[in-house]
Amino acid sequence: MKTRYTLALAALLLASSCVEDTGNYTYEAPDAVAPVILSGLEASYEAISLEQLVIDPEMKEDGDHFEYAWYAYPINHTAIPYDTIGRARKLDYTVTIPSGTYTLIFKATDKRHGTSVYQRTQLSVSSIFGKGYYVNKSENGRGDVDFIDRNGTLHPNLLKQVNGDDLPGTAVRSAYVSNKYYYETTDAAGVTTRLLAQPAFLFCTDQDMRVYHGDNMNLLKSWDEAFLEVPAVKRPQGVWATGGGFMLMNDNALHFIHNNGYTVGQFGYHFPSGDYRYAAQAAIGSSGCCVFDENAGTFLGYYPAHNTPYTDVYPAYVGHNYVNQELLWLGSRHFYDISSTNAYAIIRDKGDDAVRVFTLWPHYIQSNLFVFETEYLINPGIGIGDGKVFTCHGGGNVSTISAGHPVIYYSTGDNRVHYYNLANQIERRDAVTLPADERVVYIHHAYDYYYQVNIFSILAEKNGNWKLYTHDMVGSTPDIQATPAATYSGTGTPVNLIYRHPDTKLTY
Amino acid sequence: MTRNTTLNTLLLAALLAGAACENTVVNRYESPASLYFYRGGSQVDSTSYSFFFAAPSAVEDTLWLDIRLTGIPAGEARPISLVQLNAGETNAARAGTHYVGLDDPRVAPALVLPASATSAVVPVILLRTPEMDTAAFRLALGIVPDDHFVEGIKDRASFVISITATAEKPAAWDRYYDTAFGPWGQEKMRFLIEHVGYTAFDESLANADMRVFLNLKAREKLAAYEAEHGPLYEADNITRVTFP
Repeated sequence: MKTRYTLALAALLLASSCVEDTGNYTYEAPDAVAPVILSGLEASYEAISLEQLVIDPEMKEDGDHFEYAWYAYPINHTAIPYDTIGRARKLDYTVTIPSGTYTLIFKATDKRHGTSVYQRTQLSVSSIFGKGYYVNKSENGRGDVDFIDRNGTLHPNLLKQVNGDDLPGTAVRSAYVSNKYYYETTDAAGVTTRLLAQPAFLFCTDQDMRVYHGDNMNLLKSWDEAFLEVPAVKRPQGVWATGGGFMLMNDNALHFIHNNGYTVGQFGYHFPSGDYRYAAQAAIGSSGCCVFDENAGTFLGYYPAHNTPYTDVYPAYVGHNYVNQELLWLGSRHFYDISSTNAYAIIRDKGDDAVRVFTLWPHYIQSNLFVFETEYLINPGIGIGDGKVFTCHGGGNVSTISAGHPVIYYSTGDNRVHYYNLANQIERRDAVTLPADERVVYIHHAYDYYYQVNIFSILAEKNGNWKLYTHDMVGSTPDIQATPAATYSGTGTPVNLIYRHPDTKLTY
Repeated sequence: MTRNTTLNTLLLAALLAGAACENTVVNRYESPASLYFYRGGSQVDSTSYSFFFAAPSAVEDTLWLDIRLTGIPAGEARPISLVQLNAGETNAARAGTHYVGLDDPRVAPALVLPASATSAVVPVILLRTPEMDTAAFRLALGIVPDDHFVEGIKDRASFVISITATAEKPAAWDRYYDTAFGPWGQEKMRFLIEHVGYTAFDESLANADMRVFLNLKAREKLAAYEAEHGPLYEADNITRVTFP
């Protein structure tokens, strides 16, 4: 009996499935029912920590049947979590997410239909210190930084203003990395907290070196706190940013902070210096670096995880290191926000005075390679061999250098800037000329292909004080606009500068 | 609710209320007291001690053993009957030579479970001898019953100490140390202690930064040592001390 009932029920259900659906439906295109954003977002936004970020998109229709969300996804920074920073149409947000570059997504949903529309933009978050020029200068036997913020406001003696103290000695270099500094703090109750992937700014004079937090410029570590074992001699020769942290040259020895998840913000033991005498220059590639031994007149490669320098590992088509050379310049070529691409070196042969320019690839040092290529022998009459300060045009990447020009800018220490184009081996004289009573002490091309940073800076000295000229480039050419976009000045003798940008992870 | 049900409910409540007013009788723990070697933290059933890690001038060092009570704490201090179990056996440590006798005035007064205490930490003073540069001596200690304590937990009534001045390979060496220092050797370890200043061999050395730091320092210190003294060899005079 039970079986009969079951079969009857199944038959009824089968029969009903054959009935034609005669319902009257109206189909509408998604565009017709989806929310419409009338005034879209801009291509990018910059925000300063703890200040208000207001974005007010206009909707075709609004009301209680709409809901909104603003999502911030960090780009290339895995230590920062995703976040929802708004739930209303108008974003009015006190910026508390960490410094970095985000994809910002605005989402509007019509709850009646469940349809949504999205718009995407880019959001750069930084502190007030996250964008601007850091002029390293010396005054009255002390070293400090004059900071020019994004509004063009000069903040002289930044380190002393923030921390109450500058550094003894003559300024040498500074370096910044946005996300490779790990350190620990211990509060009054003895509780230790480990901070991960923090921004750090390192500044050194010829007598001292200190570590500052990149967001607020507060002192993190003094010299005695900045090493796993404090060196016997305090004689800094320079600090450089690397893809893994920082490299310090001190008393003719190299120390690294190389982030591997365990670092506590302290430089390690110095690498063997042997009979080398380092020039105070370096080309950085990822976490490795290329330096120059003035004794033998040759190049050396170091990588933090390898305990001896690379001196003689070359591809077969190069087959030699350079020896018995005088180093005129060694510098990295700016690339995207993450790393440099190749580097350049200019050398003069101590035997025949021949000047050579060549590219090298410090990236490959960590792969047990130390690669030179594309050597250019400088023809007589070309003045680059007389240069005192140099920089190169940024751009390019590891697989192609088409995005940037193979151009080296230089000055002989007077008031003029010239450039030499390796592509056609032609020199352009007097690309920029400063007033006759000024002396060029540093030049710099801040470049980021992805984030469209493209600024040429000339730092000059006049009567013991500094002047900074920032120039736009002429289109996509290597030429510099003759008239500066901005001019700044301050007191103290300048040595060099770095340019920080919220989208750029490290400075060279 | 019927009248009977109501009455039954009230009766049950009255019974429960009455029972709640009775005094609770708790059974007291009255087993005899005993002692045992605690196992926990860094203390297990035995340990090895090497004067290799002590300063070259060190002639004695003290180990502290954690002894615990089962039973009721007493109102007065009670002596702990600690004895050597392996006296006279081959390679057994000798009282007065390899360790300070347990009846010695420096030790005996400390072999006490204080009043009201449930545990005591007692000293064993180890003495360095030249024999220990090549041999290890075994000291098996036991807690024996006496007027105050009955026999305790059987497998925790003894504790063995191996005493030597030779180096022993740290347990973590093959996992992390070898990347910083290469294959283990006694003279290599002595060099690390005396010239590199590293003694924390009980740590894992998982920190890659610290491994690079120690490797660089060891290489530099060894180069300086060899420049003054020539190559350093292990005891076989064949295996040269090197770092990768």
